[in-house]
Parts: sequence; structure tokens; C-alpha cells
Amino acid sequence: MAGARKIEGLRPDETFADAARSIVAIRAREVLEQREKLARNADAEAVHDVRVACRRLRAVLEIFEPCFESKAHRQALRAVKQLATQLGARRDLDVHRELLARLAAVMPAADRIGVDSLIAALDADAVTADAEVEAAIESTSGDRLASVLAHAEGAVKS
Amino acid sequence: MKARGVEGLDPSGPMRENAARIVGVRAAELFELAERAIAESDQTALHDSRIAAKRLRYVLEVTAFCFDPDAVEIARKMRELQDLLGELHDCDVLVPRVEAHIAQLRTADALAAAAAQPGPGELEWDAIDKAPNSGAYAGLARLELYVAARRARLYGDFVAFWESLGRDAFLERVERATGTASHSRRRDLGNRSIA
Repeated sequence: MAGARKIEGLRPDETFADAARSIVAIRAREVLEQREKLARNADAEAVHDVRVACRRLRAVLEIFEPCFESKAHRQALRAVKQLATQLGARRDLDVHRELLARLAAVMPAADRIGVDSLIAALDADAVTADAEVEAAIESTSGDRLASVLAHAEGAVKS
Repeated sequence: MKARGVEGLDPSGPMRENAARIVGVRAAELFELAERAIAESDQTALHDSRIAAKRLRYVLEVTAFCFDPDAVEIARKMRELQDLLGELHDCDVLVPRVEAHIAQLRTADALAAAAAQPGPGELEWDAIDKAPNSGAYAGLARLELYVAARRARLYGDFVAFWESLGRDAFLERVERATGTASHSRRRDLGNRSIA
């Protein structure tokens, strides 16, 4: 995925709360943008990109935790964790499949029968994992995720 | 792994001081876990080190503008460490998956072989050779060995990487980058005088 968006105009001497406001807003927007891409095309890259964006948002929510009203912070953190978790099974399968395909390409042909059978088993598991991806898209549809994140952004203590 | 709490954060205080506190705690957390992973070959500490490296990386990426340019380089090193430990973790997750797959194939083949030769009399070896997955086992066993060897090599890479960061010198480097080295020294001296 593209790297995290650079946040302009931050200063070391500005307050921790002001920095929280700027940084969390941008990381939250990145999650929503990646989630939209996932809804349009739920391929391996899109799943990975949402997870990375979630990880970055989760990181800044944790870093700036004291700056937020606790209930809004807890709700936002829970929503982001849940989204990332729902995509986790599919991502794990994608990672293993990629590694196995790489190994299979260079291993002796006789050994490939076993590895191919494992890849086929992973593909079968992917059906269940894809259902979780669909659930993640559904559970964050409309403005459900957006409103939780916007609420947290507005709950930075001044 | 739950992140260690950071004391004394102040939302109305300057970003730089708050960020330095967080970086200090995250660096110390990583240091302890990585040292434990090496000293005790503690697998949990190894995987927790990955999470600790990730946390330190992210906090540095967000707050590096407050610090010495070396903070960016430390964040880059943390990303390398996180990637390395991530690959190692993938091996640790893949081995049980291969084992579980072998067990599934074995169960299916045992039932198929038994069904192929019903009735009395000793089961023929031929039934085993003709089992639907009989050609898969050798490759899977070699795959398991390959992944274990890959894991061992990655562990060696991790130890070498941690050594290259200077082990003890790592915390001092982080303190220099965040400008807290003199504070820590003062704190140490204070502690000594109390003792």
C-alpha cells in the first residue's frame, strides 16, 4: 500500500492534544478510504491495505489515549480492532499461500504434490475467510465506522 | 501483548515531552523482550518483541519530527526488525498448519484404504500405496523440515540484527535521539544516591 500520508504543519511545541487531533483525523480518513476500496474490490491487496491502515490508526489512538474522552476512545479502538480482526483470517491465508507458492516454484516436482494439496486446502479455507471479509464490509457500511471515528475525533480534550 | 502504561502524559503539555516519554517506555519494553528472547530462547518473548518493535516504529514514525534525525533511522530499523520477526512468526504458524494438514490427509487415507479392502485378512500394503493422498506425504514432510530450517535461519538473523543495534547501546541511542539521555543519567544518579 501507499505509505502513510505525511502530516504537515506539526510542531514539537504544540500541545499533545492538538497533535492528536491532527494525526488521528488523517489516520482515520485513511482507514475509511481503504475500507471503500475494499468494498469495491475485496482482493488480497485491499485486505492487506485496510489492515495496515487500521494498524496505523490503532497505533495513534493508543499513543494519544490520554487526550481522548475515554468512552469515545474505547469505541473507536474497538471498531478498528474488530475490522482488522475480521480481515485477519483471510490475510493469514494469503500470506501462507504466497509463501507456499514461492516455495513450490523452486522445489522438486515430486515434492510439489504435497504442497499443492496444502494450497488447495488453504483455498477451501478461504471461502470461510471471505465470508468474514464480507461481514467486515457489511458491519462498517454506511456511516457506521465513520461516525464512530468522527465521534472520537471530536472527543479530544481541549 | 498489552502495551506497558506510560506515566505522566499530559494532553496540554508539549508534544515533544510526551512523545519522548512514550518512546522511552516502548524502547525499554522492546529491549527487555528481545534480551529475554535471546537469553532464554523464549518464543513468547520473541513474538512479543515483534509487537514491541512495531509499537516503537509507529510511535517514532508519528513523532520523529520532534527529535534528532536519527529517530527516523531508528524507526526504519524497527521496520526491518518487525519484518524479520514477522517472517519468523509466519514459519511458527505454518508448521502447525502443515502438521494439521498431514493429519487430515492421513485420516482420509486410512478410511479410504480400509474401505478399499473390506472383510477379514491382513490389510495389504497395496491399499496404502493406492490411498488418494499417498503421493503427498514426502513433499509435506520435506516442506515441514524446510520451514523449520528457514525459521532457524531467521532466528539467527534476528540475533545478528539485535547485536548490530548494539544491544545495551540501543537504549542509549534512543535516548540520544529523543534528547532524554541527560535526564536518564540524572535519574540514574538520583537512584544511586538514594540507594
